[in-house]
Amino acid sequence: MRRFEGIRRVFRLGLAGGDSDRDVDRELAFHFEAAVEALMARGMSESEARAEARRRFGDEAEYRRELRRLARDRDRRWRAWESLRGVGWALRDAVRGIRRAPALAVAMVAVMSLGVGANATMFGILDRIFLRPPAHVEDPDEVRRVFVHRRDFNGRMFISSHHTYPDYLDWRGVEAFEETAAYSARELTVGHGAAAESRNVTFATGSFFPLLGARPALGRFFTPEEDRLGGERVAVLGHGYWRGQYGGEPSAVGSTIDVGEATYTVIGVAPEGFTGVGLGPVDIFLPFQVAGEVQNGLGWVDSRGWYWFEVVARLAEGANPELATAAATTVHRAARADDENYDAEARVELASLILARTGQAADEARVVPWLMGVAVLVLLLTCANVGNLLLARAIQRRRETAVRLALGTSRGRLIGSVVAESMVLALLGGVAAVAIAVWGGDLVRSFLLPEIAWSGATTARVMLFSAAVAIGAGLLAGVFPALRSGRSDVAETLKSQSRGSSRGRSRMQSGLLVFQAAVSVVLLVGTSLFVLSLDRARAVDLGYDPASALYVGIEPEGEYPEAEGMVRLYQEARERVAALPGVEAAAITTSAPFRSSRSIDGVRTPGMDSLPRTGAGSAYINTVTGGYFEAMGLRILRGRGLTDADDTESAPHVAVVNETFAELVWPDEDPLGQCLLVQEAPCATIVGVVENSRRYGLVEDPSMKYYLPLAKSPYAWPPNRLVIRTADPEALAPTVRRSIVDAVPGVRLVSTQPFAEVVGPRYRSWELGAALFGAFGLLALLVAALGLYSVLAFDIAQRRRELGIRSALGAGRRRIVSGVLGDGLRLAGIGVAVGLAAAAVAAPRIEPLLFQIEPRDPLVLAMVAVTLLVVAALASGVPAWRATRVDPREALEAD
Amino acid sequence: MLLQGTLDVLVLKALLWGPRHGYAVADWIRATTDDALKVEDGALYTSLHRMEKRKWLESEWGVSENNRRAKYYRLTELGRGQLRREARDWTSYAEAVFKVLRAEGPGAVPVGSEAGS
Repeated sequence: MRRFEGIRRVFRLGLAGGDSDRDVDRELAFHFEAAVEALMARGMSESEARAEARRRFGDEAEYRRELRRLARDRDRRWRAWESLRGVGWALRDAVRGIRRAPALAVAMVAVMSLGVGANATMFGILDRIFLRPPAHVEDPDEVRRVFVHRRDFNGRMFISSHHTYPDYLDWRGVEAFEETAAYSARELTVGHGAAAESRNVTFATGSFFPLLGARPALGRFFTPEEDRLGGERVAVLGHGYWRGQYGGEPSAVGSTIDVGEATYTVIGVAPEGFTGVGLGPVDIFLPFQVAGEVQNGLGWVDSRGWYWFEVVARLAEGANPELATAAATTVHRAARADDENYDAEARVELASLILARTGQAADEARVVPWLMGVAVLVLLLTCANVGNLLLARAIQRRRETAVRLALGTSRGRLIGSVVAESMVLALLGGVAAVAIAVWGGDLVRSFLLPEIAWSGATTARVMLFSAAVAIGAGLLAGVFPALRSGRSDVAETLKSQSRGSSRGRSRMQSGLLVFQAAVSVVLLVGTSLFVLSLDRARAVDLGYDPASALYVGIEPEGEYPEAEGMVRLYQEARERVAALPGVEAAAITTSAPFRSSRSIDGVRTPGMDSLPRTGAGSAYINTVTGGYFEAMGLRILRGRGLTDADDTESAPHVAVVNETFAELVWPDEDPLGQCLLVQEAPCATIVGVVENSRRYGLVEDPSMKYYLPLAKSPYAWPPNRLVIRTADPEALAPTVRRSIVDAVPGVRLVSTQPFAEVVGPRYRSWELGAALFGAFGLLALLVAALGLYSVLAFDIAQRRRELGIRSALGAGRRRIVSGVLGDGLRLAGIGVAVGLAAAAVAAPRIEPLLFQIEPRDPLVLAMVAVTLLVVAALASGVPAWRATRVDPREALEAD
Repeated sequence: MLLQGTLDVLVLKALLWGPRHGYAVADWIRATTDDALKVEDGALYTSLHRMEKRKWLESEWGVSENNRRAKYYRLTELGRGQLRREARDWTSYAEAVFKVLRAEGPGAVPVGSEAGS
């Protein structure tokens, strides 16, 4: 059978369409010759014989046509079969190649899986944030968020996502909207007493669930009829909260739950992963009007100044979005026509549900596309690496290749087998990549992007993506060696008795090595910029000591008392807490940093009618009890802080100011002993100067602050927080909650939050950037080092003969080592130069995401260059050392 | 004219003892049947090609007795099986026809007896 096939191949392979016709003609020609010969042998003349043969044959033209048709048909089938078999051959060659060098294959699969895995991980995140609408929304394209573009009082354009209740009612009347819903997300204290916790609660109109098209996992949602003022107090639990707090028990439905200032009956559970319109997890949904009245009274019902709702609308079937936008704008402007202060040019935007497309994405979200880009670079890098390894092997096998070409194997088949090999490797890598994506994705999500509810399963899409990327990577990595195999010159290779004695490395290989080094440099520059940003952000002196401060909030039982009542409640709690072991200081404050700040009019000094302003605004007031500065970790620079002795009605009026305040108000004088006039109160004597501290963020101008004793507050402000200083706020929190709930009558619940948690999210975008750029950067460095090492090692193995001869001729080890090292470093050096140039071009584009660092920081660039060269030296060092160990005799005898 | 299936059996049989080219097949059939069947050579080639497509035969170019390139056909396993089946069918068919032709007088088997039993 084999022989038979072979002969067929020689004659049939690659024959063009007309050749099956010629086959038929040849066959018939032979037939006639043979027939005529035979007939003549029986005594016929040639012409008689011809006539007889034709007669016996029948209608020659007709039969020939029929035979040609059959032959062509057969040929077509045969070709299809052949190309199918080609794939089989390629795969067989691929598997053979892999089995011949399993360690190399494992290395390549590992590299591929890292590259594809990095992409799959990032894709999982990108997909959720940028590509897909929130889970459980039916026909999401028809659902729009309603934004208003308008000018604020200063004439600056901004996009308002929050609206007033009357605005919402106006939009309900727009005919192009099939349904409209409003919602408002906030944190509320849930539960009672020591177990109380702060939870994400969304107030939603009854139209919210039907509009989105979600179906409850259990029980039911509240209806538009239930969502009315004074309506039944009902609640729907988020799926995650239900599972976490109720163990997923169906009996949760029908139980009651304390949320904020009222008790609600649970009537249902939202489907898994349902987050409404946003991406953050929602623990509890409450009917808008019911909960709105409980928490905020009734002022919002007809106020056009209370912007606290977000609005979504579902377009009516067939409605034109542009016309709908115009209608919503008209309604909005008409309702505001009488308000002179309102921007008459305000216009409505009906925005996509996909948050990142609305231009309101947070910094964290803005880092993600960069990281995706980085992941793609890493993938290119891994492709280059695998391509290079395959190329190295293709060179090693070039003799075999040449022999196969000479024996008539088509170049197509050779190229096919190389590409098949890289495809097999890439697909194996793809499988491992899915595992990496699942694991890595979890890690990134829980540590770096915890505000987003991830439960909406993306696994299927991630797997599809991984498969697609793996196939693409396999093709890409296969292209280089395939081109090389396809090009190899038969005669040249066979003639030269090379057997690996010539220089093995091709220009393409060197190019790939340079490319790898360059990409590593770019990624390492990115890593350094983010790490330094994070470092500098962390180093920013907030003034406070976030690690050892704990915020405590207290909710009273029943009706909210007047401010004095609240102060009493807080004072009692403060006494209890101060007595706890481990509490170093405890104080009450009416504005807690990073939560609230306030400024008032009528503040002056005897020489100044009004205080100067800074970029951060006017001076900010805070009223506190004794121990506040200690509790927040603020250093007193001059004089003293405020004490409890100052905090009585009868004590003399005193105040503490911060550095900026002192510098601006009394630039040339000693601030201590100066007089500060706050509204009608008598002169408050400055007794101390405290260090500057932040109000909300890391990036803000220093602000002027002054502090008065709580008892001397110009208005009856209720306490905002009790602040505690302790070594381990997290650990002490439960004790604090219990001690207050147990001992202080009239307390319904106590919430605690370590200050570090309050501040933490401000660092997140840099953390995300540093962590992932770091991971990818290291990966890139590793892959590049591996690439350099393997190619050089391969080179050495190929040049054994040459090295053997050289060492036999007395070449010193030093020369051999420096030759190899120099080779590696030269390639790395070019790569570094290219990479630095690329980084210098690209880096300024990420400037908005950095913190207090120049994108082209020379130190960073230098550091990266040195790192890469050191790694390159190490990677070439091993092969260099091995090169010196080549035994001349062995090397020369080997072939 | 001969039925197509019949011609196929003849060709398959012609190839039973080894590969032959088209002319040899035609020659063998003509010699064996004393040219009684009057098969057109063209029909024979059509049969060869058709059976090659069905994978009952396979072909290869080789060199003929007098050193010319000729296309040789040979039976595949499939073709061999087909020949066995066809030969069996033909034999039983021919026997049946033969029996009928040799029948002596009507009513050896009573009409309707089968229905009654």
